[in-house]
Parts: sequence; C-alpha cells; structure tokens
Amino acid sequence: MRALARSRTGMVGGAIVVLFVTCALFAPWLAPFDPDEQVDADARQGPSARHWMGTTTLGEDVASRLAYGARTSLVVGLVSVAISLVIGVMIGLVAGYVGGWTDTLVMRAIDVLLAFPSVLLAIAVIMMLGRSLTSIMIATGVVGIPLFARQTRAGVLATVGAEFVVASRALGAGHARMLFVHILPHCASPLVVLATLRIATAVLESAGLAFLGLGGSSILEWGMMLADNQNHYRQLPHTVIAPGLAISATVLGFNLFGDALRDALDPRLS
Amino acid sequence: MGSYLARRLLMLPAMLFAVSLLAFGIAWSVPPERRALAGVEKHVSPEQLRATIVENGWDRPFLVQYWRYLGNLCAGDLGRSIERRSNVATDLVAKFPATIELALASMAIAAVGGILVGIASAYARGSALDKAAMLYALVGVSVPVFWLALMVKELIIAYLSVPLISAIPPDTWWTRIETVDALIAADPHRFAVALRRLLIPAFVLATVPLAVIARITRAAMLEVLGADYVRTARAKGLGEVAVLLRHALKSAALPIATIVGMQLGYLLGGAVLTETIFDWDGLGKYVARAVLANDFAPVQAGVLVMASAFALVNLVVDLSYPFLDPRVTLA
Amino acid sequence: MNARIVVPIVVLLLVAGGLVYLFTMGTSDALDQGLLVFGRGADSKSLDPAAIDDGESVKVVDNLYDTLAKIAFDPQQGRLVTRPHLAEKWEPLPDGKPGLKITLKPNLKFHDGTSCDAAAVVFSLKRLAGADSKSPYKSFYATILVDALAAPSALEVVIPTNVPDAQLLSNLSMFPASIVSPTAVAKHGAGFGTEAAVGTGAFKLKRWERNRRIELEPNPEYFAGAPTVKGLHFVEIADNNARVQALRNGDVSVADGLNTQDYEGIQASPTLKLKLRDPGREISLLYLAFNTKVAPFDNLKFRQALAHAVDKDKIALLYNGVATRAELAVPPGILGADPAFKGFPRDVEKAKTLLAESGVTTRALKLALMTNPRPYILQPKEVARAIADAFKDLGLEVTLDEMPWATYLAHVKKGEHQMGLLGWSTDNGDADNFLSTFYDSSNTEVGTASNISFFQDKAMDALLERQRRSVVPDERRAALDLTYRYANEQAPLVPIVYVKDSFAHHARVEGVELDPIGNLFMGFARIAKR
Repeated sequence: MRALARSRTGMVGGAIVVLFVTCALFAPWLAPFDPDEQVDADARQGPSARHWMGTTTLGEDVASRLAYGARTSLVVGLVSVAISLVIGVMIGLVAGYVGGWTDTLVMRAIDVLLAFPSVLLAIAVIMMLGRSLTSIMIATGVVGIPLFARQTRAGVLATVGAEFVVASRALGAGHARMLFVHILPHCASPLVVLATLRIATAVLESAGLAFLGLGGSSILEWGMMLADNQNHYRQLPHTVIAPGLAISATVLGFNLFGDALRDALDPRLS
Repeated sequence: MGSYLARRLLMLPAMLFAVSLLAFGIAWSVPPERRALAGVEKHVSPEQLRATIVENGWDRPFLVQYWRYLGNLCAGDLGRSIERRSNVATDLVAKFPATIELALASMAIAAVGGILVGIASAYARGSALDKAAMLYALVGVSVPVFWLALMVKELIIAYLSVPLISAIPPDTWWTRIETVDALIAADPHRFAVALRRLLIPAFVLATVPLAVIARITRAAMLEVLGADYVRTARAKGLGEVAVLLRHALKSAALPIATIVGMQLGYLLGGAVLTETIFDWDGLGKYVARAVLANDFAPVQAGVLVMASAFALVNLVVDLSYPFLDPRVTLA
Repeated sequence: MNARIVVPIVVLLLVAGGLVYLFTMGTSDALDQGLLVFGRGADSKSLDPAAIDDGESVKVVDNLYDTLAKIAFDPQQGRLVTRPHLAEKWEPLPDGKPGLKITLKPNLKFHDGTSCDAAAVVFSLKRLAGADSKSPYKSFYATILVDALAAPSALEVVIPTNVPDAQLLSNLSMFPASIVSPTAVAKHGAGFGTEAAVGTGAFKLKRWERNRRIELEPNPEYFAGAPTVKGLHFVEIADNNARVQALRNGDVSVADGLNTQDYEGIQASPTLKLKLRDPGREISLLYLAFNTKVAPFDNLKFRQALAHAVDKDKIALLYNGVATRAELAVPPGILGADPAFKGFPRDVEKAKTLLAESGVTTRALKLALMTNPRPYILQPKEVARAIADAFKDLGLEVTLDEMPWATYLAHVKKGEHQMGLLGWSTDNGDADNFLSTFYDSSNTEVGTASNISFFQDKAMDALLERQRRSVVPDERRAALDLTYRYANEQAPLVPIVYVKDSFAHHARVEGVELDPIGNLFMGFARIAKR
C-alpha cells in the first residue's frame, strides 16, 4: 500500500478511477438532467451555466449523458472482465494443475484465441449474438479470456512445486482445496493487476464497437455519443470532444493505476 | 531447431482451422429461414422457403454444413453479399489490397517511429525527451483511435483538402495497391496523389502501435545498454551511435519483432474503425458496413482473411527469431 | 561543418518540404481531363428504368435513357408543361377513342446501334406496363391497354387507354417510361440493368463498379447534341463530410446531399457554387409511414394519435433552415399542391385522448430507418430520436432499427417494418405522382411496394381515380382537396417536412441548373477552361 502511494502517476490514476466509479454509481443523483430528455429551447448550445458541457442538436444535456455513459462503461468493464476472469482462471487452473496432454491441448486452444485480432473476434461474436450492449460485454469478455488463462497457468506452474504445496499434498489435501485455498491466492496479485488493466482495454474496445453501431441504436455509451455527433463537430465541437476525453481519461486512469499496482505488488513483474 | 519449427508450423493449420470455424459459425448462427429469405424481394411461400433451405443444405448437421463451407472456400466461393448484390470473393480481391496498403504504411511508420523514439528515450534516459516520450506512450494507448481519427479529420483535413477518394479511376492496376501501382506505372503525379491520400490515415492508425513499440524498444534497449559487450565496444572506441545501433539493437531485435507482429493484428482490427472514418475503401469498411446490414457473407470473408493474414504474419515473425538473434536455438 | 549535424537537418528539410508540396500541390485534374464526377450518398440499385424507384438510381437513368416527352417550366405560362422529347408530336387517337398517337423523331439510335423506332417504344411500354413488369411504377400506367399497343409504321406509336387519362403524358415523361433497346434486353435478359443499360441517352454505360462508381461516356450520336464532357462518373461517398471534401478539392465536380453546415462555406468559396431550391417551391418530402397491415397500426385512432404527437417544427429545426413543416403529402412546388391546407397540429392532450379511445394497449413500437443520409433526411438517426422523444410524451417506447440504405429499402418494401422514415421527390411535377405512390392500393405488391404503408382503402382509391381523371382545373382542385382531407384523416403516414433540395458544383462546371422537377441531367454540362 505504501509503495502504491509513493507512485505519483498511480495516485493520479487512482483518483481518476475513483471519479469515474463515483460518476457511474451516483449518476442519477449527480446528473443535472435526464440524459434522454430533449429540451428544445436549449438545443445546440455550447457550455453554459445551465449546461456545463453544452447540449446536443436534440437538446440533450451532454454532461448528464456523460455521467450515465460512465455507468454503461462501468457495467461493461466489470461484466466483461468478470467473464474473462472467471472463465480464464478456470481454464488456467486446470491446465496448469493437471498438466500433460490436457495442458498442451488447452493452451494451444488459448493461443489460437489469442491470435485473433480482438476487434475481429468481437465482430464475429456480435454478428452471431445480435447487436446489443450484452453482446458487446460478451464479446469483449471472450477476447480477454486468453490473457487470464495464461496468467493463471503461469502462476499455478510457479507455485505447484513450492514446499508448502507439496507438504499439503502429502497431508492428503483434496485437489479442489489445493487449487482454491493454496495455489490460487498466490496467483492473485498478477490477476488483480491484469483485471485492472483489462478494464481499461475493455472500455476502449467497447467504445469502438459501440461507435460502429454494434451495440444497437439506442444505448447510452460514450462511443455511441461520438458516432451520433460526428457530423456536428464544426458547430458543436463539445459534443465530440467531451465523450472522447471521457474515454481517454478513464482508460488512462485505469492504465496508470494498474501499472502502479503492478509495481507495488510485485516489482519483479515490471 | 527441428521441434520448435515443427511445433510452430503445426500451429498454422490449427489457426486456420479455428479461423474457418469461427467464420463458419457466423453464418451457422443465422436461422435457416432468415438465410432463405435474405435478398429475396417477392413474397415467398413456405414450400419455396423449405425448398431453398434443403437445396442449400441449411438443415443439415453442423459438421456437414462446415464441410460444405470448406469445400466452397477451396473452390473460391465466398458467397454473395445480400446488401450489395455482389460476389464476395470479387469484392475481397478489390478491397483487401487497400487494407494491406494502409496496414503496411501504418506499420512502417509505427515501427520506424517507435524504434527511433525508443532508442532516443533509452539513450537519453531520464531526460525531458524520455519523459515526454513515455507520457506519449501512455496516453497514446489510452486514446480511442476513432476519436483521434475524427478530430484529425476535422482539424487538418478541413484546412488541407486531402483527397479522400480517387476521382479518376486508374486505367491500369496490377497489385491494386495504389501507391505501388503508381510506381509500377512510373507516374510521379499518380504516386504523389496516392501518397497524399495514404499519409494521414496511416499516421493516425500508427499512433497506438508507435506508442507500444516505443515502450518495448526502450525497455529492451535499457536492458542491453549496460551489458558487457556494449561496454567493451565503447572502450574499443567505436562511435557511440554505432554502438547503440549495431549491438544493442540486435539484442533487442527479438522483443521488438514480436511486438511488431502483434501490432499488425491491432492494425488489421483497428482498420475496421479507421477505414470507416477516413472513408478508406478497404476490407475494414466493407466488414463494418456488412455487420450493420446483417450481411453475414462479407463479415465471414473479412474475418477469415484478416485473421488468417495475422496468423501468417505471426508465424513469419516467430520463424525469423533464429535469424534475428543467433542465441536463440529454437530448441 | 560537422556532418552529424548537417545530414539530419538536410534530411528533415527535404522531408518537410516534400510534405508541404504534397499537401498543397494542385488537386486532382479530373476537370482538366473533361471528366464530370458526381458524388452522391449511395450507389444505384439498378440501371433498368423499369425496375427502380429510388433517387440514386434515377440520377443515372436520367442520363442513360430518354422518354417520349419531358417536363419543363414554361416562364411565359408560369407553370410546368410537357414538351416533346423523343416524340416529334402527339395527337389524340382517331374516332375519339381514349389514348394517344405519338410520332417519333426520325433516325433515333440506341447506344448499341440499333434503331429506336416505334417497335422499340411498344416493347418498352409493354415491359413497363405489362403483367410481368417489375416496376414499382407499374400502376401509373395501368390505364394503358398493353395488348393493343401498336406500331403502324416505323415512326408511329398507338397507345390506347381504357379510360381518358389526363395524366398519361406526364406519366410518359417519367423515367420508368424510358425507352430501352429491345435487342439489349433480349441479349442480357435479367442482366439488363446491371451488366448493360442500353438507351438513347446522352451518355452510354462504360463500367459499373458496385458501391464505388459508375462510369458513363458521352454518346456522340445523341439526338439533342453530343455532350461536350469526356465522361460522367457517379461516385458513392456515403459520408457527407467526405463528399464535401471531395468537392472542395476537385475530386468530385458535382455533389448533392450536403450537410447544411457546409452551405455557408460553399457559398463563400470562389471555386464552388451552391444551387438551393427556392422557398415555397420545394419538391421533396420526408414522411413517417405506418405499416397499416401490422397491429396496432391498423387501428385508425391509434394512427391519428401518433399523427397528433409528431413535433414537425422541432424536426424542421434539425435541418438548419432547409426544411419547413409539412401539412400534407404534396410539397408546394408541385402542380396541385395546396399551400393553405392544414393537417393535424401537435396536440399532446388530443393525442393522449385518441390513444385512450383507440383501445390499443401496446406501448412498445419499432421505427426502422436508414443509416445512409438521403437528400431529404441528412441525419436519419436524429430525426428518428426526435420522433421517439415525441412519442414518449404519450407513454410509448420506440426502439430504433437502423439499416444501410439498400437493406432498409428492401425491408420497407417487403412490409417488414412497423414504422419507417422515407422521402419522396417528384418525378413529373404533378400531385398524383405523390398521392398514388403513397396511397394507391395497387402499389402495395410485396417486394416492390412504394406505398410502404400498405394502405389498401377503397374509398381512397376512388378519390385518387377521381383526381386523376379530372381535366377541368376547378374540378381537379376540388377532387384533390377531398383527397387531401381524407388522407390526413386516415393518417397512414405523417408528412413531416418539405426539404429544399440542393446540389453544389465546381465553378468551372457550367450548364447545370436546379431542374424544376429535380432531374439531374448532365447532357448540357460544360467544363470551362481554367
């Protein structure tokens, strides 16, 4: 913890993450307007006292849309990483622990998955599932599985030979107990780092997919906001700059925090 | 040497198999009724629908359909685009070169730029240059490329009139990569126009890979800069630049090559976004549009081609390891 | 000097200089090569006049083929008139039978060298109006007695109709009645319109690269004089910004479907000219169609409720000054329009009442729309969202269903939608062109329907027939008025805004004007020297 506090960039990142999560969680209370409310009289305005980040052509308040967009991004980030983590860790544990042919087979499959360009893989998945926010979450989740699988397996292989593990085995501990009580906690730190960094990537990827229209037409997502307003840049630049900055800042925050976390938890990894 | 080579080469068919399976899955996930109705303008009776389904084998088991799909692939039949009413294979041949052109140009910019920045950062470690470069590396990875593309498009292009389409269709083409064709045709004006069209999208697309390559290069160089033989070379009096370039770079070649190969995957995927924004007529834009139209054949073909290309490039990169670094014995 | 400093500086200067040259060098010389390039938002669907009804396809068809007559604006009479085109003259049939006898101009030739004679005209009309016709406009020619079409001599065509048809000549001036080469149709069969497109027009088809460009070359034997330009290309640039960009730097010489935010810039530019339709003379309409074959849109009160909820003024504002609120489905620039007519105003309370009275309990609706901008709807998603917001006031939840243009058009023509946004632009300057398209029950064939409300109402058909047959102006006005009122009350669609059409062109391109009915005929275009 102290190591973490020492990193200035880490603190900046952490602050951004906290800001983002707060916005996301408390959007209904923080947002001054209903994000979908179209106030005709206020339409097409730049930043003002009433609308801190201006309005869109339809009269929606940009700041409120950003806040609710943070919600969407948070949900997408968490669900996506949850999918990647749960499935990836399971695969990694099994592969690393069982070893032998299972290991080779499973890891080859993981290598194959890893070898797909992520956007293409996501597009393929969304094509099969239909265009919606859920599909984006699943697609980005699937893309992240190999990373967690690989990391977990490496961790398992590293600890499987350790003394305390051999000792527990000798004392007759069951496999499940071995995996979850003894081995997994030792793999935890790199996984936490990976999860943090993966949230950043998931937010970035999902914004891109939403931008392409793969989340459906009506989601409230930063990437979608960019797509909707791209033809209005000249008259209403704030409608394009704001969501872009939001995405960049959030991703940067998670990246900075994740890097600092890695440095603090295990200097050997950096 | 033998077993690594063998394992690596065996990966390729496995990759291609997986890619084809995924591509096939896209079509297979569409209910047969919808497939039969696709592109049909008139009212179709249930019997006609059934007949179409049976004729195309869409009610057969997964493996049978997959086998049929593979057969079609080998015969060069990639299906038809419902929205464009065109032959997908023909479209592919017309559009893939443009994506290759953009990807290669971006790759070149990212590799050259990234390596130079990485070397400079490592050399001037701790300086303002180094800090700035590393800040760029961090921010570059966080900024969405499509947002950057949008901003660039508005700011620069609005003032610079960069042509986004080629008004006069080339009378002659060989590779369909416009810059290369212009060179083959020995037409300097055509080359200049092609280059101008290419530069801005290529630079925008290169920003992220450049950042990543710079970071990796810097790390690799830092590891090597203190090594013994470098010190010896310095002591022997070779120019410092020569020392860096010749010895250090050779040692760092492996991780750099790896990351360059990986970034190509990013470029192929990122092409979908960037091509859409710059209206670049390549495979990415083709796929993006097809996805919105639920037009699965082009998406299948696009995924197949781009993922396979990426797999091939990675293979080439892996196989180049022993040539880049004699210490690697491919055991 | 130290080489280590000089060399990098020289290299840097060379690179910088190269880049400056690259980005400021002369733009594309398409105009210098005599090429006219037209940039539009979507590709043509087909080049067969008897198979299309979308604006993009029509643009190209207008340049490949000719019709027997053409609509022009007569300044002396101050209105639209029909002038002979391929025809030399026309006269009523002998013995007072309903129909026309048309005498063709001599020596007309198709692009394939075959002669455009009376037999070719009969062939084309049979193909258009016959039972096998695939044309969405087939019903406009339903009065023609197809089996009795005759060519008594090489230049004379007899077109009998079952009843006196006041609209016949106007309809023969529309693009579906373009004369096609029978030889080419026989040769290419179903490929006519995609592989080949042979007419008598000012331009011939050279090559069609799907979704990219159509290349036309001048027809040296064009009867009205060969075009002076060396080629006419139609290029698809889906993105409005990219299209304007291409116009600015000369890659495209003419462009339409421009963003209103670009108008100022274009008007201020010395190298560009903007042609904008005069206010009060609009010929294009944007409307919201309800698929009356699908519940709950088969319920009259439900449709009326929605019609009272649409906020037309708000949507007009989204167009930055080129659109005005529409009260009826016929824009003011059209013969027969009634600028004084008032449709339903926006009245949320009334709408809620109607909704309650309708007994409809569905609260979730779907609105289909296109992703490509069209000349009558530059930001489809925005308009859709404005509509969804308006319906929210009634407690209705609208989901948007976006599709690229070709897919969208197929979707609504097959009647797979609940609500759809679409536009219409005049083909012959007459109100009937709009009314029959929107409301006639014979235009509801699945797959080619232009009546995308699939409105099949006997009373409406009767009213339409009546206004079609009225020759006396006052009689027609009265018939039209009844039609407008009935259409408004039945509300199978809601006319939203009239849109001023426009296009922009390079200053060196002369001879292109905003045609009274929006035709984009480029045969008289000239490219001035620098």
